[in-house]
Amino acid sequence: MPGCSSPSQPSPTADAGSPTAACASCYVSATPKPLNVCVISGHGAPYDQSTATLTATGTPAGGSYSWRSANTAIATVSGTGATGTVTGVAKGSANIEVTYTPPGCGPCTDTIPVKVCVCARVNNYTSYGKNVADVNGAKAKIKTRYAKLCCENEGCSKSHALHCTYVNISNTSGALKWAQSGYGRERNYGSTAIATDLYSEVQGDDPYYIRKEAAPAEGTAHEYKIQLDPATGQWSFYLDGGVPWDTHTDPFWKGKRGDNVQWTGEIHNTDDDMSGTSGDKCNFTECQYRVRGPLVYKDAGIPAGGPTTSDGSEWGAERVSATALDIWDKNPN
Amino acid sequence: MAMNERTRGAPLLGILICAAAALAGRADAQASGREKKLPDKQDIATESAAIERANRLTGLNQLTASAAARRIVISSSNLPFLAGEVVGQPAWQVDFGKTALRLKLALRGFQDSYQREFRVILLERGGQLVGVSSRYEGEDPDMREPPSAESAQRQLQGGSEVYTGLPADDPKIVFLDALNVVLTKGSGSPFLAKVIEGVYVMDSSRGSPARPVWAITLRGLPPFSAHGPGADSVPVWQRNHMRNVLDAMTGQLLFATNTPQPI
Repeated sequence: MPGCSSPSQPSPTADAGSPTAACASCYVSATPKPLNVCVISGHGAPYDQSTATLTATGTPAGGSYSWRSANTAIATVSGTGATGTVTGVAKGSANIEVTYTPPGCGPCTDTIPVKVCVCARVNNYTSYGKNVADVNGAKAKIKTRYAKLCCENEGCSKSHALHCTYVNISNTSGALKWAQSGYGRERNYGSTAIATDLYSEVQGDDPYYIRKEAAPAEGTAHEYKIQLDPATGQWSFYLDGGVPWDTHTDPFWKGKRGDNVQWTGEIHNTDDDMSGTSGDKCNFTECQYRVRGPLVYKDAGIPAGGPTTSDGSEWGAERVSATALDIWDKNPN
Repeated sequence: MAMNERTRGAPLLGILICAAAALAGRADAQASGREKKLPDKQDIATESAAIERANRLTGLNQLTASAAARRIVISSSNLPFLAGEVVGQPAWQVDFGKTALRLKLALRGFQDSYQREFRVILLERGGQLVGVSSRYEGEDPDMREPPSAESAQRQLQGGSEVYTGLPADDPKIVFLDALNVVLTKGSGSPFLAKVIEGVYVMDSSRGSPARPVWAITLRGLPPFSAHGPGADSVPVWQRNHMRNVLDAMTGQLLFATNTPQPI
């Protein structure tokens, strides 16, 4: 609340933005209020950042400013003039106080609530995966549970953020190659806009390939199936059976198959949310795969304790049955 | 539209053409068996008619009143499936003055990252749009030249997509409005693309009936991220371009893909 106070005569009834009777000539206000500070790390220039600026205006002119953080574990502040530079330290909330001392008058203060969010670039996974020789098809029915991205609530980040949920087949015999399909929610570098999509993706010897189409609706469940024709190197992507909604051919995959199959939730920043919450989890059901030989799908065979997560304090992963698992975020934004 | 002509570090027109020679005055168009002159379209006879036609198809006059037209012959093109039909054709090249992109659905006060000079190529016979593209004069080593027509065609065929021709009817959604669709519903922001290229073509995907679409390629984007455990290993030059395809009659976004791409 902007205003004026005297150390000996606090003014608890002062209105926001109005001087008090105790010190009618002293007034200070800082903007923006509240202040959001995005701490972006690991993304590189020009996206990495950890500071935001406050600007104070005090009257009468000619006074001095001082800045103070009420919680330096969340945010610190520096500045001797009218500009305060707030540095985010950790996710959370703190108050920043600016004190203005004009000539011949007692000091007055303004308090600015600050919220710090963090986008630290590191991939995390919640998944069930298994090594399977000669795997050439995988599928699952996945519930669509879109999740918040880091600093989305604060709106101050133009760094990349992503959560996606998918079925994946990889070949780990050399440089990692993979194909996958699922849904995701993404903020691209350079923008605060966030988009959802159904996607297919192939990494092989040709340049990386991705295709995005209309996103499935929140709360709906759909079968995602990816299937390789090793004779041609063509991947086919299916949504709820029928004909493939996308295909892509890459020379790497001709004559080859995968050696690992996964049903996965993925995020690209520590504070991106994983699909699902404790009250409405993201369900993978009917998890199956196919290998060389008869073109039949077999159950994933998820064992007790099979699903894993990068950090059990942040994300949940639990087996439901031999063909089903749930994933969720334990601390959603 | 890769052209023979280059600007600093980037093709002048990714999807288009090259003017073999500017033709003075109104030269008679050479009839060609490859031409698809449309009965309901008028030939473009004058500079002012070319500019008017470019305005009507693109809406770029909403950005700048500065435009100049000259007659050319298309000497090369990297428009997949259709390069053979446009190369050798007399055409009009309409150059719009340097301007920032302004889109009506952008956030209030949002500013374009680049100053752009759009070039529009129109066939002289029938006035069909061959392409529209913006110029980028900076350096970006990760923004590679777009693929040749042959390479792009192979890539699209790999995904069962075909450009079957230039549409007979004008789009109901002009180019500038198509950019609004990309901005709000597509993949990649036009404001962040160093180069914007658009073609108005009949597109058939997976055997569906061909329909008129805007295929708008954004190049030189901040890189998007690959998914999966190997995401960070994918080179930037494979993740900084995106083609958004939308129905030119309804404005519905159909799909987005990074194909075709440099090989």
